[in-house]
Amino acid sequence: MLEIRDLSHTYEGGVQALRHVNLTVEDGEFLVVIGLSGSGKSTLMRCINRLVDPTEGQVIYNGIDVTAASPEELRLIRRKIGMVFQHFNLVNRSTVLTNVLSGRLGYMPTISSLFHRFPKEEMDRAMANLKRVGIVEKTYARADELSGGQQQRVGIARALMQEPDIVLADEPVSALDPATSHSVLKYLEQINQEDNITVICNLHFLDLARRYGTRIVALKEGRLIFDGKPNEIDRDRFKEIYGEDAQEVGVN
Amino acid sequence: MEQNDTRRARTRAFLVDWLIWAYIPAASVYFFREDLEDFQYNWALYLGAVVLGAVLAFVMEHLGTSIGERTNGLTDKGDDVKTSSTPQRVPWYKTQVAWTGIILGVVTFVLGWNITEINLEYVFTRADNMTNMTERLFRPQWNILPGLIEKLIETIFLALMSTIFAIPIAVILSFFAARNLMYRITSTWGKLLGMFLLGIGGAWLGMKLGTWMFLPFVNTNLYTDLLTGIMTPILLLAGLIGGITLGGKLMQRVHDAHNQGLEKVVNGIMCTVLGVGAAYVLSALVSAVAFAASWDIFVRDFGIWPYVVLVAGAVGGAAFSFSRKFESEFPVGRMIYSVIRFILNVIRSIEAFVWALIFVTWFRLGPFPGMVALMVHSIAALAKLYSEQIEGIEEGPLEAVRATGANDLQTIVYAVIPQIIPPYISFTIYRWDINVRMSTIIGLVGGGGIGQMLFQFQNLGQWRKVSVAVILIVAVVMILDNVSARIRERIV
Repeated sequence: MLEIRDLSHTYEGGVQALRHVNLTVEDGEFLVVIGLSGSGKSTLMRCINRLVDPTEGQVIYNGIDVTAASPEELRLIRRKIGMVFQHFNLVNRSTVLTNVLSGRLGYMPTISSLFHRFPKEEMDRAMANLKRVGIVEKTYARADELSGGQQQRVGIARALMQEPDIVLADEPVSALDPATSHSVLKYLEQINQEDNITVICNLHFLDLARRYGTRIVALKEGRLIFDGKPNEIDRDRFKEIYGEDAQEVGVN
Repeated sequence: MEQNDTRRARTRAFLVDWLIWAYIPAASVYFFREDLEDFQYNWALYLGAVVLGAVLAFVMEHLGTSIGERTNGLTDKGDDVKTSSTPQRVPWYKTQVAWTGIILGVVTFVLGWNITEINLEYVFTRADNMTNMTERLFRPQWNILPGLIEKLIETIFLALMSTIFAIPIAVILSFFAARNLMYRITSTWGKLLGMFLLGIGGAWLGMKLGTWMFLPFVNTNLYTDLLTGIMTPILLLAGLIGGITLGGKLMQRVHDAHNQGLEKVVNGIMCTVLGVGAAYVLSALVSAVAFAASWDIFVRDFGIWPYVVLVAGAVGGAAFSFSRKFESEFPVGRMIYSVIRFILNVIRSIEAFVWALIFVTWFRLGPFPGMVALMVHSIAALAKLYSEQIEGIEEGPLEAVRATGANDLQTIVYAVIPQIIPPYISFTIYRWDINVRMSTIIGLVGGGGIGQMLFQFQNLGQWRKVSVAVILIVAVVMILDNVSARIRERIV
């Protein structure tokens, strides 16, 4: 269970990205976070694994206060929280395999990992995860030789290497075309349903949010303004979240 | 806020104008410097130029937009745009900026002609004095070729070795000189200060131990100079590392005790020591640089004053301890970054052949001092180029690897290094290329290689041998330039 209590973040320079957000995420949920660009979705996500340090408030993960964790404790927390990024964030010049294996670094002794020495069971785990996202034939290709959708699947495989309890997906399909978007989100849905991994996912398109989310929350100017079931978002709610002039566009 | 900005811009504008309008009369006076040699009060003329400059700047700022005003964004005077019916640009030759620029240009060009002693008469009448020499340059004395090729090989390898030795040091330094890696690193003030003071103390102890250790064995069969020379840096480093470790452990104890009083006392003592140390270093430096005297002479000749300085340092340090709490955060990464960047910039801005002068006195004439001189210069240059590569890497993969729970070292190995290897290789080859070119200059001051031969031939007026050396140098530089460009193209 993940609890977010009174979370605020102000960037250097005074931009208030989050204002007093309270949110509880149950295990096994597929939580979709929606909102305009700049509404604080990414910051919320980065506060959970402390890639961004919140200025106020707490994040409690399975009873542990993440915001008060020491660097060593934080490492142990982070390795149970996978993350998938908008721009995939793979190391372009490394192979797909190395990129996937790097998801396991939190479990590896420092010395052997520095020399890229991974035991056989980790190699097998990497191959299994690559097979799972359907790109095992690209194992030894360089990451930048892959298409966007393939890269994002490598990103998911890397997150799976962590054997995570939670996967944070920060706009995982914003850089992809509609068809590829669905295939990537289906993998996230699959790990959510089959492995019971909690997924917290930022999305831009409301129809994707309705299709994949078991619960939707909406942020506006750093405030949580909606929390409910996908089918509860009607025209009025939509206007409230995206503004009066917004038109719903779809992804098919 | 806005008013402050305007005032600052006004001040800057006036300073620029003052500089321009003082420069013009001062340059005119300087033009006649030879006629004024016997004039006792020529300093007054320069002073007058400075004063006149201020007056002229004041006047010019009231006559339309001056250069200072234009460069500082104060252009709303309406004289370069006619505001009547239709806004119209004033033609450039009617603006003050243009006229000031023209005057500046003419004065500078005339003065430059005068200073560089350009002599057109020589250009048109003395050409045949040169032909005797150039004619010999066109008849290279090829029989010295074998010996010169040996020297050429020396040059190439000298450049190669200096690059090879520079690489590991520059790689390590580049991480400390990369803004994006270092700015993140902070630590608590107390812990750092403890590590710093004990580190310095340990290094000092180690150094002293190294010098004393072999004193009893002087005049025995032992080669004490060598032993002392080897052990001193080793013990210094060991002392430094030991001191830092010890300091870190001790301060962790203090931190873990969670005792406010203890922290205050420890912080107070350490700050006092720091103050005394700073006072000592500063006054020793001042007495050395300004009066060419050591600290010992300062103590001997100035009675009570050295002690006053030390006590003042102690008081200052103790007072300072109240402004910085033991547990307060200190941007140590930023400090290390600035210090290393500064040192690298200083080393890099000293030309390689100046370094060669230093090392020639240390290691005697020959290729070895030349190699070390090039190495020192290469370290600074490569570290800067490398660190700029680190600063330019994509942040995304770093974030991703860090998010998996990897520690800092793992993050560097998996997310930083793969991104920087190709540019590192490319810059290293480029540097070798530069080093070959530089090593000919190094030879001029005795740093070995073909440059040294070139210098000897030139001194003896053996132009036909000079010719061979020049041809060889040009050939090698051209070939290497080409090859290194091709290799670099392939890599990136």
